Amino acid sequence: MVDPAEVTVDVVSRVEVRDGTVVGGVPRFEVPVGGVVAVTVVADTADQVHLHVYDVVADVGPGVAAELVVRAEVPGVFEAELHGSGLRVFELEVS
Amino acid sequence: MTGVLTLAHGVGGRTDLPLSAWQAGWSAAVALVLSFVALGLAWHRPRLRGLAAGRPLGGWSSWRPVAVVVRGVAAVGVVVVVSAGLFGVDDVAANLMPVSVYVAFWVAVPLLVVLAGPWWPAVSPWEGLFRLVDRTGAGRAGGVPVGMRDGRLAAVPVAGFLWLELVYHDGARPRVLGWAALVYTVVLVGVALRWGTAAARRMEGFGVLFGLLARLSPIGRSPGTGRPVLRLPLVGASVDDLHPSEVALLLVVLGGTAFDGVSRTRFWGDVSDGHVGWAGTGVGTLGLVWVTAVVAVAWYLASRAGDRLTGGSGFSARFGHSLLPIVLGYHVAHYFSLLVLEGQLFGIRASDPYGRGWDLFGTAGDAVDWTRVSTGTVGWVQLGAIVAGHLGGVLLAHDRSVESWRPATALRSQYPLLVVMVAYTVAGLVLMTG
Repeated sequence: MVDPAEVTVDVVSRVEVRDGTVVGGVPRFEVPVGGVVAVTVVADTADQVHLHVYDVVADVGPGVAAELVVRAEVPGVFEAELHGSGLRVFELEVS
Repeated sequence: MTGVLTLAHGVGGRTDLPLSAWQAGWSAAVALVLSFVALGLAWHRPRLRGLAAGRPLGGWSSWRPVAVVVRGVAAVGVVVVVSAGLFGVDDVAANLMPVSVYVAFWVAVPLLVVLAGPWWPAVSPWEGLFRLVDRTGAGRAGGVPVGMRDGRLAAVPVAGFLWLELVYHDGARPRVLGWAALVYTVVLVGVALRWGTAAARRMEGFGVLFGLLARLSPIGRSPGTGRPVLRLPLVGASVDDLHPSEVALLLVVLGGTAFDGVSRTRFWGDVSDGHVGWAGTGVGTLGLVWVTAVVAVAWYLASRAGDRLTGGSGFSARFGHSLLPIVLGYHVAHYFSLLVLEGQLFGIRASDPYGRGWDLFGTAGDAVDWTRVSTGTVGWVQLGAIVAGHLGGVLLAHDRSVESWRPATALRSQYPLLVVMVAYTVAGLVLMTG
C-alpha cells in the first residue's frame, strides 16, 4: 500500500455497505495508469475487503473502516469484494 | 502473491477494459460492409466444398509414437486434475482443477482444435473410456431411447458447464468441479455400457462441440478417403450439414458467451447488485436462460423466414454451420485475456496440483504477470475476432446458398441470415463497450 500522505491522490472516495448492499450502488472509480486511489470502505458487519490482482486486503466492520490506498500500475478493470459474503463493493478501472 | 482465481462470472483477476464507442462502431460498420460485399460480389457457384478436399498431408503414420506419448501424458494429467479436485485442498487459489477446467479445457482446447484439427478424440478421457467399453463388447442391447439417438442430450452437459462457469456462486470450487467431472463420467460410462458407445458419444457434448469447431481447422480429414489433409481454414465446415441438435448445441454455447458479456456490463452489475450466494445464483440463472433464449429465438426466426423465402424446410440445419465461426469469434473475444493472464496460473498450480506445498517444476512460487498483454492489444484482438467470425459466417452461408438454389433464391435466402448475424455481431460489440 501507498502512504497517502506522501503522494498526490487522484481519486478519494468512500463506500458504505449496509444490510448486505452497497449504499447508492456499486461505484466504479476511473484512474489513469500510475494514478493513486484512496478508498475508505465502512460496513455494518465484520468482513475483509479484497481488491483483486492488487491483492490489497483490509479488515472492515462496525467501528473498523478499511483504508485502501493503491497506485494503479496494472491497466484493466478490477473488483474489490468482501471475502466472506462475496459482495462486490467497488470496481477500479485503470486505463 | 499470485492473485485469486475467481472465475465465476468472469470476474476476479483482470477484467478487460470496455471498448470505446468509436472502436465498436467502426467494427460494426466494417462487418456490415463486408456482409454486403460478400452478398453482391462473391462467387456465384459453390466453391468451399471443393476446396475442403485440400492437399494430402504425408508422413502421418510416423507421428504414431508421438500420439501414444501425448495420449499417456493426457491420461496422467486428467487423473491428477480430477483427483486434485476431489482430494486436494478445496481452495480456488491453491488447486490445479479450476484453472485446468476453465482455462485449459474450456478455452485452450477449442482454440487448439481450430488450429490443429480433430485431435481431441485422441486425448479425451471420455473417448478413452468409450474405447475400453467398445473392447468389452458391452452395450449392444439395442432399444436406445430416442433422446439418446438423435443427439439432443449433447447440449445438456454443456449448458450445465456454462451454468457452473458463469452463474453458480461456488462454480470455481475444486470439490464442486471434481464431483461434477466424476458424476458426468459415471453417467457416460453407464450409458455406454447399457446402450452402447455410439449413444454415449452423442451425449458427450464437449466432444461433439470440439469436433464441430475442428471443422474450421486447416488440418482435417479428406471427405472422401478420411486421410489427413491440409486445406484453407474455414472451408472444412462446408462439407457436412449440421444436425438440428448440433445447431442447438452451438446456440447454447453462443448464448453462454453472450451472457458472459452481459454479466460484465454495468447494467448487469446494477441488476445483480447485493445478490450474493444463492440469491446471486438465482439472478444469474435467469439471466443465462434469458440471454440464451434471445440468441436462440433470433436464430429460429431467421430460419423460419429463410424457409418461407425459399419455399423449403430445414433452413436451420442447412445453414447451422455458419454459426461455427461466430461461436469461435465470440469465444476468442471473451476469453483471450483469460487465456493469456489467468492461463499463467496453470504452470504455477501444476507444480503443486493438490495445494500441499509441493514444487514439482520449481514454478509454484511464480507470480502471474498481469501486464503480459496490454489492454490495447486485448481490445484489438476482441474486435478482430468478432468481425472475422462474422465474415466467416457470411462466407459459409453464401457458399451454401449458391449451392442450394438458383441465384435469385440464393440471394433472398441470405437476407434473414444477414439480419441475425449482424444482430449477433453488433450485440457482441455493444456488450464489450461495457
